[in-house]
Amino acid sequence: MPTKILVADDDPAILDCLQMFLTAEGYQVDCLADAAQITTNYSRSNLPDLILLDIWMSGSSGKEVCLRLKKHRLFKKVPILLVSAHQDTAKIAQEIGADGYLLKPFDINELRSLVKKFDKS
Amino acid sequence: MKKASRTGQPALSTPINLPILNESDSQTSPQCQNLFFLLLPDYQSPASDSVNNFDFSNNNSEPFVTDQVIETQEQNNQQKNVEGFIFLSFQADYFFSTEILQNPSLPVDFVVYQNIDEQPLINDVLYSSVPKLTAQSLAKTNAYTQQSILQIVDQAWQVFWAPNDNFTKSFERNLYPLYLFAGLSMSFLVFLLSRLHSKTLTQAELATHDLYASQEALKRSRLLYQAVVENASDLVTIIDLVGNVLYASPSHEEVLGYNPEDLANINAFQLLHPDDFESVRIKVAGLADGGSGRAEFRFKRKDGSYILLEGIGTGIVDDRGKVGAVFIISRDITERKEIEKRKDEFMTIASHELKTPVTSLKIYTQYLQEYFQKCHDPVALELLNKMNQQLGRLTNLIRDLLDVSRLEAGKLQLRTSIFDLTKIVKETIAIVQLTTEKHTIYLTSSRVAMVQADPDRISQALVNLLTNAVKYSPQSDRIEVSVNADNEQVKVCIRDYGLGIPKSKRKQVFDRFFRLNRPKSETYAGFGLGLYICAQIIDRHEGKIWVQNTVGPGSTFCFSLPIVAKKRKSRKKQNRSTKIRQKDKKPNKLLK
Repeated sequence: MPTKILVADDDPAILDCLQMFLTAEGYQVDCLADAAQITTNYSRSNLPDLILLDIWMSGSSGKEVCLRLKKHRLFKKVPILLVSAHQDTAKIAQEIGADGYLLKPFDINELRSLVKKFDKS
Repeated sequence: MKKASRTGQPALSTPINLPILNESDSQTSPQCQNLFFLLLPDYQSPASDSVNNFDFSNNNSEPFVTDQVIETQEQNNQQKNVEGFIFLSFQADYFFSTEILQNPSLPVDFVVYQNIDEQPLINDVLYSSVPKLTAQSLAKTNAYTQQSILQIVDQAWQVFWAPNDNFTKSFERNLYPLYLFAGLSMSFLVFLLSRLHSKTLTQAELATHDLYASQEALKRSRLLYQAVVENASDLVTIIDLVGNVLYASPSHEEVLGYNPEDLANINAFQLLHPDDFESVRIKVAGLADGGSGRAEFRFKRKDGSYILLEGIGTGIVDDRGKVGAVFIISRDITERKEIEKRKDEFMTIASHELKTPVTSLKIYTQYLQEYFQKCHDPVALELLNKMNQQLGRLTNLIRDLLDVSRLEAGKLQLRTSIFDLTKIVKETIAIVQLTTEKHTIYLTSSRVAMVQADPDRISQALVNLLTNAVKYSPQSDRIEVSVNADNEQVKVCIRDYGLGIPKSKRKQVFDRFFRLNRPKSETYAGFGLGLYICAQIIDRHEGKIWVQNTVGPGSTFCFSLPIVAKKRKSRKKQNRSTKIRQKDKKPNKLLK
């Protein structure tokens, strides 16, 4: 089973390019424009192995979603990488207990090496 | 008698007033005027012989003439030989009554000379009826219209005389020029005094006028200041050093809701927000040494709500040179803070919105690069490389603009840790080396250089300096980087062999938006923000940055940072440092 990565971002262009690249890298990629739906869209049987989560999304705050997921009985063990253009992404990631972060715009090699650390396959 | 004793010559005594006995009724008349004695020295016999050279035997009509050989020695001899004096009374009234037969009772002014020369001298005057006879008046001897020779004991005495009226008229006539001169002098003096008085008066008037003008100016100035203070929209407050309100401008009512009279009995510190109380109290107390200070604080309105104020306080020095009160101008900065907040939000949104499309472009471009590399399509690969470079530039420009905005707002946050600067320099060189095929970057470093800094920001400064070195040395292929550390600091220098920087511009290159005016063919794109950001980053780390003199072409940019003290390397401290590193480190942006 390929590693399943969930990408939650409100920007379709980001979803599109990440899905294209990660799929090409051999991952199974799910995309969500509204991070608030994460808990409702997944059950114990189909949990993602890694979540790429934007901080600043219309409709929901990535920070709040991350905090909620880290307390969720199903998702609390799913690693979360914050992907954001926010200058203080590193600080925020540390504050909310994320497992790592990527600062936009990033090189694909950065993305590749970071995601690979959570590759269970 | 003194004169006669001293000179051994005949002399007249001072006038003597003798009462005249009236025989008929045995009464005394009031006085007898112009009576004096003639004193004739009586010499011893030998001396008399010796002084016979005084010719006393001339006929009586001839005036008595001394030889004027009263030489000192002879005079002394005469004095020695004076045995006594013969006193003879001379009653002028009687004398002149015989001379003035027509009117014997006419009053007479006269002068008696021992010398009977034609030009008598003042020293020869034996007696004058005119008091205080001067040489000048004596020269006017024509005032004395009559001259008589008085023969007494074989000595001739010259008497000039004139009736009182004639003398006075004549004397006064002779004094006309003197009167004229005196009058003119007096007039001139009066004129001078008048001018002086006038001038003094003018000066006094001017001084009075100036004083009045100064008082008026002071009054106007006071009224102006009063008007400014009374009508200012800002809050003008005077408090003592413990916060008691001494004065509050009328604007307090509009801004805070307090009537100024109400505030006069209030301690302003009690109306501060509890969280701001201590900081403001300390700042106000600090003004006791003079100077001024600024503070932002929340102040309670009359309705109980808090308003955000910015106050600038200045100590007021009293007559004794001590600060007893503080003059504070405060203004409501709620709106300004709101604008700053919105600006920050805008910058955050702009940052997000600009970076998001660049992110997707970058992913696509780099994905295609890898794709065409596999396909061995060099043309497509070259084009994509150029695209990727331009995306890198765009990314840097966005980052620089955001950094400048943060620096200006003082909100550039540093995430410091202790690390080896040499290692960061090596890593940064490796990254920049990838961007240039023409240049080779050489590194020389002496030792491990531990610094406490934000590695990302230091790396950013290094990237800026290295990319500048690449950018501005298109004709050369060599860039040299050196890291030298001592116990105090570590110095990093980046040397290129490119266009160089004129000496006069070396300080300006660190200014915001500074661009060197180069020929059009040598113009390079950019905002002129890279070096400004470098300087700001190094400054925030308490370091220094400068352009060093370079032998030959190109330029050398250097910066220094304080080195971490050796004591931190002790075992105990090292453990703590490790903890700090672990806390702050971002290992490949993986937090766990």
